[in-house]
Amino acid sequence: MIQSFTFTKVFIWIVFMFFLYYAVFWFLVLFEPEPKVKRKRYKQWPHVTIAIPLFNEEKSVEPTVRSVFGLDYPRSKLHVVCINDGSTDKSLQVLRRLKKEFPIEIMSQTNKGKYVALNKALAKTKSPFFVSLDADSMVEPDALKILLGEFTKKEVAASMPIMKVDKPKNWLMRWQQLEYMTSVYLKTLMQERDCIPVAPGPFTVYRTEAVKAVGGYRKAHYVEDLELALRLQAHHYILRQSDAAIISTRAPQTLGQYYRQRLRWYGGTFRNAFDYRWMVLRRAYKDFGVIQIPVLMSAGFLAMFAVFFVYLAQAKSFWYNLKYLYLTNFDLWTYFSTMTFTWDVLNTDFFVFACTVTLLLLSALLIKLALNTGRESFTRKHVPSTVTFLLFYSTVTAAIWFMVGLRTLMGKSGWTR
Amino acid sequence: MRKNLLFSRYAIAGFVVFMVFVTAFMLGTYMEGVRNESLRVNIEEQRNELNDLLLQYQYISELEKQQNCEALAVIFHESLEQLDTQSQRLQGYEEQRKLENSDYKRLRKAYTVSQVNYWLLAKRLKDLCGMQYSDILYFFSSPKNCADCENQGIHLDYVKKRLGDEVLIFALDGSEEGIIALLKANYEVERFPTLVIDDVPYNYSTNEEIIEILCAENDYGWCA
Repeated sequence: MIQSFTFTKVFIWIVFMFFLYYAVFWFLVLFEPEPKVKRKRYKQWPHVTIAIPLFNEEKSVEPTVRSVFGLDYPRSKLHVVCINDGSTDKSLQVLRRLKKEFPIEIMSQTNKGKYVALNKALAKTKSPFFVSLDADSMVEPDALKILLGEFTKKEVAASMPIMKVDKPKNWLMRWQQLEYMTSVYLKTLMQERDCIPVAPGPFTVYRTEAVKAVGGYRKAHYVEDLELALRLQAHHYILRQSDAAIISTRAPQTLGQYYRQRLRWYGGTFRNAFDYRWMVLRRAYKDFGVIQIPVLMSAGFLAMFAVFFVYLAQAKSFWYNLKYLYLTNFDLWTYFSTMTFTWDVLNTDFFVFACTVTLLLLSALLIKLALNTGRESFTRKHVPSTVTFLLFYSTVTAAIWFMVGLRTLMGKSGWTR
Repeated sequence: MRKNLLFSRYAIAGFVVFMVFVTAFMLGTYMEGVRNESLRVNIEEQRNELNDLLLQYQYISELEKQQNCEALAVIFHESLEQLDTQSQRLQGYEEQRKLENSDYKRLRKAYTVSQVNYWLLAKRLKDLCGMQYSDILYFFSSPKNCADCENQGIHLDYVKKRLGDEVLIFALDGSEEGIIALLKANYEVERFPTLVIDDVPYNYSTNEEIIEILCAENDYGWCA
């Protein structure tokens, strides 16, 4: 044997197999007969409380409230509560103006966090269904009726829509659009095995009784929606997603905003999954305990290390090129104009080639299926964002997971909001 | 009630992953066999190429008597391109560690001999045909024995990219014996890297210094 196996290669193989196993496991759902679930029909539409917590959302809260009152739902059955969480901008003035136009209830508190705001609304509600709605999201008119139709049995505690990025303007937002859609698609597969791990903040409809029974919202490392979903799973409730109900949400537009949001999400995911580690391999939790919680705890860090090792393998070449440019006074013209590309098939690292091709193909398949689910066809406009998403998004998320790991090791428990 | 665990699903997923692993491993092993076979053929081809180069050298020497400088220049540059291809192929295999050490040493030796042959030829052509180019002998060693050799290689590569055919660079592994030892003794090479630019030895030099040396002795268009 000429070629040697290094620790790096073995590690990347293991991570590759791990993600391949996870992907195959969920793709197998596609080969199962689709269960015929009858949607719940209501003789009379039930009362619903929609809680909109907000902190400094003066620009976005108005479209959110307007979209709520654009819902195809009897107004007499809707109770809309806006909870101002100590905003320092003009959010409260905007709410007061909206109150003249729409029947909304305004609650105020000093800045205590979203979970406190939601609990405040939850405590007061007498509606059988409770909806949390982020103040940066807009709901489509038919969403509420569709989501209520998912509560076919008492164990169903939550029903969530599919989430899209509202008017993606730049490459970062288009990347997030793809990410949201692939995540939504995976959840459509996961719900077949009762494995949905998160109910998003925008417009998840909860059975009030169930949420109150498990104790309402918690601080939960600033990802209260994920933690509530885990807690509902821990109490054997069922979470559903309907791909017929759509909500659009404002995604971060700049890298800074994106970084802060993801630091909170990823850090919160890891910490909450770790808090619920006791569910791992418990027979009572079936697939959720066997595959979902372990993956939630480990996938981010494993992917981070894999990406790190892939870059480490390229580091020598990168360092050489950097040194080359430095020693030649950054003469970029000569550097690029004399650059040649040669590819010797026999000199290709077959292992890296196999991993890369398989993962890219799987990701492309996932994106294709996700676009179908989101009722979007793959057009020319998707090409640049999809290609860059496939090539670079893992690096961006790996960098954020690195920061999550670093902050965890440094004992920083609070996550940037 | 949660849906029951389907052990068959875990087993099928495991089987698929196992099959992917086995397929990749078998393909990898097969590819390694193909690569080894190809290397054996390559080594043979490279031997033939070297013989061809030597033959060309002899032929050019004959042409020299006929004073056919135009034909000489064409063949000479074509041959240098062949040598460059050999060098890149060898470097690629060396970096990927896809070559047995003994094969690598054999190829390296053959490559060095042809480098020296071409250097000698370049000098003769310069005298014979009045071709205007400079020749640089670059004595290098392994990174362990020569901390500056990587940087020197970068400077020389840059000079070559900037000046093209007007400068011919011949890289020689200073740790080799035979003709290299003789050249080292002749140019009093005691440390690495050493550059011999148009027969004058220099220590480590940056690309600016090399260009300055070349321009001091020659009147190239790019010197201005």
